[in-house]
Amino acid sequence: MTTAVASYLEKTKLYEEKLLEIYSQKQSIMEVLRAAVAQEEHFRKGANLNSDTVTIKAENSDETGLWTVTIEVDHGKVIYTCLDEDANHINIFSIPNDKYIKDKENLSEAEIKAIQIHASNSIDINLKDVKTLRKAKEHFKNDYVLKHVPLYHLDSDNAARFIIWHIKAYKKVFKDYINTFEFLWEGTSFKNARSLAREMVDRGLAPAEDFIFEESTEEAAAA
Amino acid sequence: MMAVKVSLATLRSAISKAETKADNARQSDRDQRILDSQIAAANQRIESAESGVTRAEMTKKEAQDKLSPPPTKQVTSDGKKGGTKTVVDEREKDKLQAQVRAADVQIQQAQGAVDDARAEAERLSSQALSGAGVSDEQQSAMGELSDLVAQLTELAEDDQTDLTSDSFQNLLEDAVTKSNDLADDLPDDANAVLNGFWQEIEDGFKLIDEKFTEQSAPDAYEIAGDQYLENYDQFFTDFNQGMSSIISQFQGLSTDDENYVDLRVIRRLTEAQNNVMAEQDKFLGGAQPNEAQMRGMMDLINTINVGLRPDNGINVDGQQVTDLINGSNSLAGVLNNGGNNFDLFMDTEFEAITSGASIINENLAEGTTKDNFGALLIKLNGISNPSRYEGFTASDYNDLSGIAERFENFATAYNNGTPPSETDIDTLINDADQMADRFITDYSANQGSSSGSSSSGSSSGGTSTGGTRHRRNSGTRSRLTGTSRR
Repeated sequence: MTTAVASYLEKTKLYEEKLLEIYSQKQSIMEVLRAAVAQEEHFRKGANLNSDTVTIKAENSDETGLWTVTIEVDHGKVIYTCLDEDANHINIFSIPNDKYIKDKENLSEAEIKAIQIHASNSIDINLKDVKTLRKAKEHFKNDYVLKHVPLYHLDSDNAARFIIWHIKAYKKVFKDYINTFEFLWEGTSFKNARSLAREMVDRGLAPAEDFIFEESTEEAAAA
Repeated sequence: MMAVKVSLATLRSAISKAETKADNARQSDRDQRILDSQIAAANQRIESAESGVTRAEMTKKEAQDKLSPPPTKQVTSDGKKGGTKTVVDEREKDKLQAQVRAADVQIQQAQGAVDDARAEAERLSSQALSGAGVSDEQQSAMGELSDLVAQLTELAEDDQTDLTSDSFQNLLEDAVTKSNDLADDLPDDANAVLNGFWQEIEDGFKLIDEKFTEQSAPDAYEIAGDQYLENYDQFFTDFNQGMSSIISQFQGLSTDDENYVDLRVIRRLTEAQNNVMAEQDKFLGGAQPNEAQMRGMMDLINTINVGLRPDNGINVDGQQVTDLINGSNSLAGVLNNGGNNFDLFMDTEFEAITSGASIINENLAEGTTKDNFGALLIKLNGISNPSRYEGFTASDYNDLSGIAERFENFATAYNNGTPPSETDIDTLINDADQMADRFITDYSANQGSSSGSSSSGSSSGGTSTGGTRHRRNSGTRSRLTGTSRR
């Protein structure tokens, strides 16, 4: 079979359907798929740190496969959104909760939102470009949410380090995960183990009880 | 601009062929779906049969986590003081390391199984194609065309790509040739794979067609803001240049050119051009609703001009030329009547005269001036029907607007207790009378009914007294039209 034919066939739905059917019959593949989905769900569910005062969650998009990491504290959340597959280009966005807004009960929803947006920060960084990191450090110098992350005593200097530390730590985790499991969906239209497994369940190729799917952020937003 | 190798007509013919082939292949899509669902059901049965066989969930990650730091245990210290000490639990460590190794083996097994699954899925897909009577060579050609179209669509979606460049045109020419060859060679049997293939080719070509048309189309014509409600000088300049360009390009074409038109068409185009250009000195204040019509004509002119540009591969649609001729003649007619809102503008001016005149007349002392003023009012009333003013010039509208303004000013002066002198009144009577005579001579303005003024005067009285009279070059006029133009 020529490369061109193989490439064409790979793009067809028929090929993908056949592939899923064959997957469903291979016990070794299904076991690894279950493990991969469990790992993704574990990321999505998140980990509680510092006596449950900080939650760190991560998920990869079913649509793009790109990762998002969210650090949640009582005062708000910081969201790192990877903008490329290698997780070098990242948007960092922080937004405070409305919980501590003064006189909140006397404000309209729009006014509350305006205050939240005013107190939020957003910047795009490139891990390979130190200038953007310096800029982020300056940008998040007085960030309201970062100030309330109780992992460290944050001043402007180590707040920036904190951001980069997390990104780099998670980048390594993602890389490990992708290196281990990507062979399952590589070359198909699926972007992660979860979307592949869901398709198998939907097509009746795998029992639903094999997989536990938490609602993704995208789905929650859509709902 | 580079010469294009694939004209839009050729590309559209290829799209049409792909569409037909997709339709033919789509017919038994339902049968294919039934077959697919049967396969899925069979697999589900297999899965159910195997569901009893479960193995422990892979625990590599958990095991790794436990290994760092390594597991420890408390053992009795052998020191003099006795007690306990913490040491690495080698047994537990070995157990966890074994789990990691087992997980690695599982993953390797799965990787091997996935490789096999890919090969098997390719084989099955290929079999489905062979079953539809598609040879290996044809499958290969399908694959190449599919890749080519994917490459072309990616390029077409990039705004930086020049779709007329040699590199793009060479690829497109290759794709169109391959597509046409395959359309002739591939069977018309209903088949989901063939349907999917032709659908992909059709969609790809359609996207290129769309992007090519987008890139070739000129920007929409806009009438500049400062031209608006003036004499549309820029529109007439652009229209004239555009039409002249079209006419000269048509004149330069030989009979074997796809865009060739005969002399009758060129003649009609020239007449249409002259008809519109004859209106450029007319009063067009009432033309604001025709802005869209004027823009439409310019868009058509620009599109045809682009189509006539040598080697750009676009054919001029004969209907577009007919539309240009008819549209230009229709536009000339509307402009000659001062635009669709002409009556409103004229009524407003005459209403200003009428309302100003009644105040002046009340304040004039009996005598010659009052008599002359009364006679003037009768004359002005007799020329106030807007329908008489076909081809009303901008200059004449300025005069009418100026007289109306003087009536208003004198009325205001009486209201403010600073009445104009009798000489001023006489001058106004004289100027207005001369203007009325000229309108009677030039437009036969005193012919027919004068009801236009009185009836519309009453209906538009509020507008006039409200200070929004349409006065040429006055700020008040643009305020009124500003509300109606958008």
